[in-house]
Amino acid sequence: MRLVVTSGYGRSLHAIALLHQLRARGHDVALCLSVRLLNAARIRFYVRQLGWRRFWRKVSAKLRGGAQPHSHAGSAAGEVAAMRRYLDHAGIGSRSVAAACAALGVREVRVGTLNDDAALSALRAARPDLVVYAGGGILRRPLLDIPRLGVLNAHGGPLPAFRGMNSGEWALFHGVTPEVTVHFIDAGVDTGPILLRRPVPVESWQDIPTGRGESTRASVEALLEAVDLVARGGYEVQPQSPDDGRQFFVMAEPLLEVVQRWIADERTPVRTAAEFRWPSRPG
Amino acid sequence: MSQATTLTPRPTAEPTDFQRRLVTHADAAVEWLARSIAACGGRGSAAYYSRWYRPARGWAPPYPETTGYIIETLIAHADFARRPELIELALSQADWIRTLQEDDGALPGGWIAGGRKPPPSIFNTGQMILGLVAAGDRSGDAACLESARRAASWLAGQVDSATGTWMAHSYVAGYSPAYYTRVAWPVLEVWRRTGDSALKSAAVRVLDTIAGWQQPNGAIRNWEFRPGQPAFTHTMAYTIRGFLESARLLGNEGDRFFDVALRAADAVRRRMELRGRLAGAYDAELRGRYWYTCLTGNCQFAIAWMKLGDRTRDARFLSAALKALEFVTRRQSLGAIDPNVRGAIAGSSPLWGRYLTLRYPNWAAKFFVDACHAAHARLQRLVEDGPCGS
Repeated sequence: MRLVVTSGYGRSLHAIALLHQLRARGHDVALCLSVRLLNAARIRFYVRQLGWRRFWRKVSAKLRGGAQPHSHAGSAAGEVAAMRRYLDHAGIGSRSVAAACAALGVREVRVGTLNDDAALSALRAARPDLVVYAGGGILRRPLLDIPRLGVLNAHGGPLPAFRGMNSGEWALFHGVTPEVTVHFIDAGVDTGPILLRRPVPVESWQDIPTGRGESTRASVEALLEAVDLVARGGYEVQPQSPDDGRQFFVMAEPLLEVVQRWIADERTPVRTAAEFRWPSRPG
Repeated sequence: MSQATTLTPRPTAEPTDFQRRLVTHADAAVEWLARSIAACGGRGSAAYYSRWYRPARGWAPPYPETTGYIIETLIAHADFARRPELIELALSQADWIRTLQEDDGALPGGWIAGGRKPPPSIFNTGQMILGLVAAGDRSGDAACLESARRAASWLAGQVDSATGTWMAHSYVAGYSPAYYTRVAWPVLEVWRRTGDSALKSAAVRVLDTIAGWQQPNGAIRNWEFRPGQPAFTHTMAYTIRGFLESARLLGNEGDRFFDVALRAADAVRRRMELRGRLAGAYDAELRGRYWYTCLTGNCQFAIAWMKLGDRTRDARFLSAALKALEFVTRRQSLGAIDPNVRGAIAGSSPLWGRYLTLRYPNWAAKFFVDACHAAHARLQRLVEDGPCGS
């Protein structure tokens, strides 16, 4: 089975771990599509979402090594620590996607976005069976149609209930145990068929950054497990209905502060994702 | 007028940093509102402050419409900040508004400048009713409710039988805006207190008419100040709030109005989340004018989203509301050199944006304070109750 791995930026520890671990498990990684950190579309998207000040904090943190900044939710270092520990424990020395690709003999193609012509032609040339998504922005139909089996993503929250952004935090907000959900990406936002789900222990959420870091680590492990499953064949998927979930956007800072308070006060989730249902009708 | 100074107890759980910021910002805005009233000799709140438009004094003449709904804000802040003197100030404004009432119950549009009283206005009468009702509820003074009743009866009598809405006494001649839902709401407030079914019939008739103006994309026709122009978020949120509050007052009978509000507000919320912030105005296709923000519209949408979030139990509305409100808190100056800008909320950000260009309107401060109160209460509930559903 020929694999392609995406990377959201050049220092993505998430992508580095996947590249090394997929190869260690004997998978054929033909290509890594690595998105340049700064491109016009990405800058526009993040400036609109975050404003210039938070955008700059995010970029400078990424350039320093992967952590996202937090104003209310503890140290940014906590977010990246889980992946650093994972890499150290696995004996992975690479600290950039380029270094990982060079060490593993994987071709790296740097692109502006995963949907641009350069990305699509590189992907077609690689003739992948499966794309493993490790960041890089929203995927459009032309890309999704290329791999024979599809594109696998590890979503950072329980699907189908919590789609979109900050889904781990939104799960906690609703009193639901966080988990990562591996699914095939379709044209919707986190609406594709679910392959497997793995919990992220509540105890690992010492604060929001460490929780995010643990979710990232769990998503690497879940993706590795999912790729093995697909490679073996005979797997089953659970289709999603659009009505089963809600799409979330970035959680407002004041709500992050509340969630952080709950974590500090050990006000833990009271139910699993399987037990959770949205109200049937607003009002 | 009797004075009521009973204040609600303080919450017990430790507030968050953002809640503390809300208190500071709301206090500053209320201080500014008090200055806007003092600038008019205690008889009404100045419509706005602007050294550009009013180089000599800075303050515009008193604006009865917005003074009306500032009354409820002052009363609410008296409870919020435990400042009973604000109740006295609020009730004195209700007294002033009652002096402006015509024999038929109508209340004036525009400003009171040079002792001249402008002609009656449908919209402005509705907004003043809100203040009269709030004052009456708080003080127990029957004269306030009677004044509100007469105003509401005048409004009910003005509904045009052919179109099912108000056509006369409008801001733009011959144009009946969708934000008249915010007139139906105060009429229903009076109905709830008097049981006068004619008031309810008139209000529901108007609400049904305007509900029929909703477009498939959620936008509502005529929610702009002038036909054909992009709608400021200020008047869009007026329209939505009118539906929301009317639905609350009508109970199950108002569900259809709640649904209209939900569709409109959710369409704007999604656009705000995708774009990262609210535009200053939106056209009929809900394409935003993003080069400026209408700050009062931000606060009004924040309030509407919080109310929608309560009823739908959908925290996405609260998140959107807090983003919209936080945006405004960052644009309120707490240390401006000009003391009359300190605590004020501009019409637009940047200040030269299309809405109330280069001015600090009193209603922006009012809706900002209301939004701060609403956000503070919801955050307090979350802090105390823990994760939703626990």
